[in-house]
Amino acid sequence: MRIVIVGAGEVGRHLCQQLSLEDHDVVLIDRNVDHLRRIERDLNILAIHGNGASAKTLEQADVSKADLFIAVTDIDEVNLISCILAKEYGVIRRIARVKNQEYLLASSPLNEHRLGIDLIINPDHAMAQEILRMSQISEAFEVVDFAHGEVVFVGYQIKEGNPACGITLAELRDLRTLYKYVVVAIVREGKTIIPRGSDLIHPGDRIYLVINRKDMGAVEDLLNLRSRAPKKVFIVGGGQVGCLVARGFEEKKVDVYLVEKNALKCEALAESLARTVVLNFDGLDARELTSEGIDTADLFIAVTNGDTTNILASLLGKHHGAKRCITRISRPDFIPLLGKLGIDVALSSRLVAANMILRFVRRGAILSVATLLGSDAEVVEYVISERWVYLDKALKAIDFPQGAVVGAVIRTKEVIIPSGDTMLRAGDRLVIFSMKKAVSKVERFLTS
Amino acid sequence: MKILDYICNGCIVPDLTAESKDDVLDKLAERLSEHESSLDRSEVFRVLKEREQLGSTGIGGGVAIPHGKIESLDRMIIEVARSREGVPFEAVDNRPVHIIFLLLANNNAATQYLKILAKISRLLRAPGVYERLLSAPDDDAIRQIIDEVDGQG
Repeated sequence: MRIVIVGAGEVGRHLCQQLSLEDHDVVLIDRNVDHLRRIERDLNILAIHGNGASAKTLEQADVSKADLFIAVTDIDEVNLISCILAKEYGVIRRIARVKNQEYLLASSPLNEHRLGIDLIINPDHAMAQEILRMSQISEAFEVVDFAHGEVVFVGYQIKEGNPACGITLAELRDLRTLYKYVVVAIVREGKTIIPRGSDLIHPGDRIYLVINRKDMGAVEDLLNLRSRAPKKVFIVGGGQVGCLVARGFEEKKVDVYLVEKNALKCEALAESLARTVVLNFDGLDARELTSEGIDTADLFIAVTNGDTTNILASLLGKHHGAKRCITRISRPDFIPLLGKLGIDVALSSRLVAANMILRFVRRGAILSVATLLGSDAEVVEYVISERWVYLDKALKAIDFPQGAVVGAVIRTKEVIIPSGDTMLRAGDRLVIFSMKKAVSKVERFLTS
Repeated sequence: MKILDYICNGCIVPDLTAESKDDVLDKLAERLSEHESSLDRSEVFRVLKEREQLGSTGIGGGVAIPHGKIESLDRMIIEVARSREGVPFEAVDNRPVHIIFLLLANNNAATQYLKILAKISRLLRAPGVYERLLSAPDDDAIRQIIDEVDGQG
């Protein structure tokens, strides 16, 4: 796919990185030559210097040939105008990052629909949505839909003491008569393993499953990965994001305590929120937090505008008994350190916006999950021909190559999570998870 | 670790009859609570029912493996039931169920629980086992078949 991106900031850079890795042709437009050079040096993209809202620049980028147009500069107007221009040039799908909330309302004179933009990303809304999403999914750190969301590709972190520790893949496979899933990969110490029957699950492993969405609950229950919705939540920071998150939790009947330093803001918040308890004190005040019952909080969310405040408040909250924290960070450079400090989830507004765009771009594209598995594994799709020698044989009776596993079978419109008894038919599309070095073996096998 | 070690005395029901899935779960819970004093019939029923709501453990082909975790239990317990006529169980293939293996464990049994559940699934998939269990004359014979097949693998 040919993709034109306007804006070489944090969001643009992250998009370039992922999309060029996924083998798309990426053209990046920015006014800042330094930003462009830096990204052009690291990644396989085409950089164009100029204003994204100018027709001349867009023509230079050959925008009429693009399949997707993404405008993510820091200026709303540039993003909107460039998207409108892209529409005139015939680009089918357009995405804009827009901070002004006015464009999000259905009643607004200029909204997504009127502007002809497929997706408007508002960083605050995206952040609030992501926080609410993460508060639901506790152990799954990655969920990718495919086949219209009926089937999901999920990653779970296996902690010490999880029932799956010490279980062999063969045992997990036996359980598949009860639970429909396929363990397609294990990432251990940065290395990807396509598991075999004798492999054991270790604490610290990340396991990746292909599973029917409706069976997720049962499997999570079995493996003690069940996500429990929080009952009591503390939010520090009464800005836009804090307010949206509080409202989201109110709808789910969660007890929300919103902490905000500024008394005037507190008044406005108390008025616009219904059940939330609005508290006027500094989020770094341990005594106040304790007296409001931080020790029984299931989740602590820090979303002030200051990274340092957010980090410290989260650590303080956890120290005084909050079970889990989600922390907003504006500098993604910090994110790798935070896990070690005890921050459970760190979210950067820009990365959240970029990931939301990626999810939109990848809808239905199974192959893109490959990048989640690291560099030594690959996901390949393969259509079974009518001359294949193993037609109508059960999978367990086929000597499938080592280092590869069939994660899903797509038959006309149905997606099948394969078991040993699944028989492959001509025309079936297989989604195969394979070690890079096994791919050629798999291809030879499937053409035999 | 053998399946037989966990089947409690009096917990093989060779001729189960029931009107509905709830009736099946209730009857099995009743039998368990009679033989295991720490178990409460309604608690067992609730736990099993909760698991069924996530998706039926009637896995098709006449087999069901209801299972769940109970805090008050100090070990794993297996109950086996058979019905030659078949009992309703809302199985995935909508067919009546003839062979039931019920597994209960306490909350901490985690890994052992997965292992024994995998073992039961494997046992019931082994060729001929289903037919043999169905035609076994009594509970002793059922016990013997389980012992024999489980020992092999």
